[in-house]
Amino acid sequence: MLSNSRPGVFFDLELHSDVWDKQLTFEKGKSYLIEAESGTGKSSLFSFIYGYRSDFLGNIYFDERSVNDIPFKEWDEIRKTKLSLLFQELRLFPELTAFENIELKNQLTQHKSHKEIEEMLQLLGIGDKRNTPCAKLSWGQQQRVAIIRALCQPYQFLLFDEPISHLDDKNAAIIADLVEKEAKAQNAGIIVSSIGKQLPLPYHQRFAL
Amino acid sequence: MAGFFIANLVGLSIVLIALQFFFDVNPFFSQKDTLFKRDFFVITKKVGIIGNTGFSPKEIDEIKHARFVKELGQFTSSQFSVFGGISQQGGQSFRTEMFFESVPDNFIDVKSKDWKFSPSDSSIPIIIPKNYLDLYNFGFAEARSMPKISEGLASLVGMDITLMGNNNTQQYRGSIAGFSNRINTILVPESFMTWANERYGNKKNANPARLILEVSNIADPQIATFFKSRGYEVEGENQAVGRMAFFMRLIVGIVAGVGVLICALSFTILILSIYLLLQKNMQKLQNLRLMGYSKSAVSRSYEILSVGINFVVLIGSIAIAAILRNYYVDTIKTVWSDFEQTSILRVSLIGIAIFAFLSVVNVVIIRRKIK
Repeated sequence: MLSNSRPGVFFDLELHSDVWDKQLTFEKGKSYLIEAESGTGKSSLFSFIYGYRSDFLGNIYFDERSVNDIPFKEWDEIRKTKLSLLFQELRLFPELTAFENIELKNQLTQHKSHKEIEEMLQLLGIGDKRNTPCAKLSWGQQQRVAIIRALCQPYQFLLFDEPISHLDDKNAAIIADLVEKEAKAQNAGIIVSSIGKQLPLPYHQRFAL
Repeated sequence: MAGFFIANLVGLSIVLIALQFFFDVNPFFSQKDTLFKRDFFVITKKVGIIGNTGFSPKEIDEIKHARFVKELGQFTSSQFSVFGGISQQGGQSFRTEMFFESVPDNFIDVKSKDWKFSPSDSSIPIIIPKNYLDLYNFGFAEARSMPKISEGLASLVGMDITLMGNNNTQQYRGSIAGFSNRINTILVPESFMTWANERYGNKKNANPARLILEVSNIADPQIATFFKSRGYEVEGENQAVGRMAFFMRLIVGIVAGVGVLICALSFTILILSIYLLLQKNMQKLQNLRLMGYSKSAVSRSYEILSVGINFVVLIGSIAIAAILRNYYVDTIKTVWSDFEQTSILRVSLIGIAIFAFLSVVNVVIIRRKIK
């Protein structure tokens, strides 16, 4: 739940936003789309929710607790079991292969079997890139690797920061199907951001940032 | 990584070899009769026409409080008659009247476990000047084609000592405990002298005729002026040697200082290397943290890595120190025959302590750096 929050750098700006300075609650089981232009604080919003930046005004609550009050140790647990974030900049390890990058997360959570991971790689059309270092993959291919990685854990919310900026519509549709199915299985909420291309999901609510 | 390893290896090796060298050579420096350790003067009053009355308590006090004097010892003369002789079985024997003097034990440059006396002993340890032996060996024996006597052999010669005075007469055996370069007299332990003067002496408390001084800085020009103005004469270790010793000490000090500086620098390089390593991987560390890896899980591999490297470096530096040491040991042996190798164990323990310290510092830095 966001309560009158806005990024610290915007402290003296006149904002016209559906998110900043408003009361706003994200619920499990629903999907939300945040549309924004560049530089309006989209990635910042995710970093505030994900607890690795706290330079905002107002309050952000996670299960009724202010995120600023959650200690470091608990964030480790939250990031393993409650929130899964697809970073806009992906944050893959370039020297590791596609599979190793996914497995790095999965061995922490033991959420998916190797077989399931292989199937997802096939489904997203990068099965043949399994053993290719991420440095040698295109951005679009890396995005798909990162999406699979994001799915390899239990979560209450999936946070996708521009998930398909470098993908074609066909792939976007496949991803949307997969993500919707996965989220449903866990009764999780989905929050997606976009600066143009949107992940085609039946969104419950749309916001302009 | 390689830079880290090499900096660490070089730094620790320098430290260990420097310490090993220090431990090896330290006994040489701390031996009392060396150029390096202490500077002594023996002073007397000029012998005038009306005789020599010795140093009065007031004069002694003045000297004692002079700025350059570290320690002052008084020569105590025997106040009784001493006859010494050597008797050979079935051969000639000779006897002569002689004298003893004593100085406080810490001024004596001969180390001997026999250098003690208790009233129940029947034997007296004696130190004679090295000059006496040299005079015989290189003067008399040379001229008369007689065999030379080594220090060891001379020490085996027993002397008959007769003490007389105060209506007491007593026979003792005298054994030579050593030869002194520093003090030009026939020395006995001060404990013996006190006891014997009490027993055989005439109880007259005479002023000492000679004083031995330890000075803080032999190159101090004040010393010569001080003695000259009061009409004292200086004998004993000469001043050129003293100046040499001063410069030697200075050089040793400079070398040691540079060594310490190098060590400090290599430790700094080492710490910087860790920072560099962490900084280089900061992005990855942060990514791992954001994936939900705990702080300890992320830092553990770095901790194991740095402690592991430190350990390999420790073993390497001990090995390097042990190898390098062999090179200087031979050189030292050529100039110092008594050189005894000390065990490398002590340095190894110090190495382990440094290893432990560095590892702790590394771990602390890693934990602080990884948020």
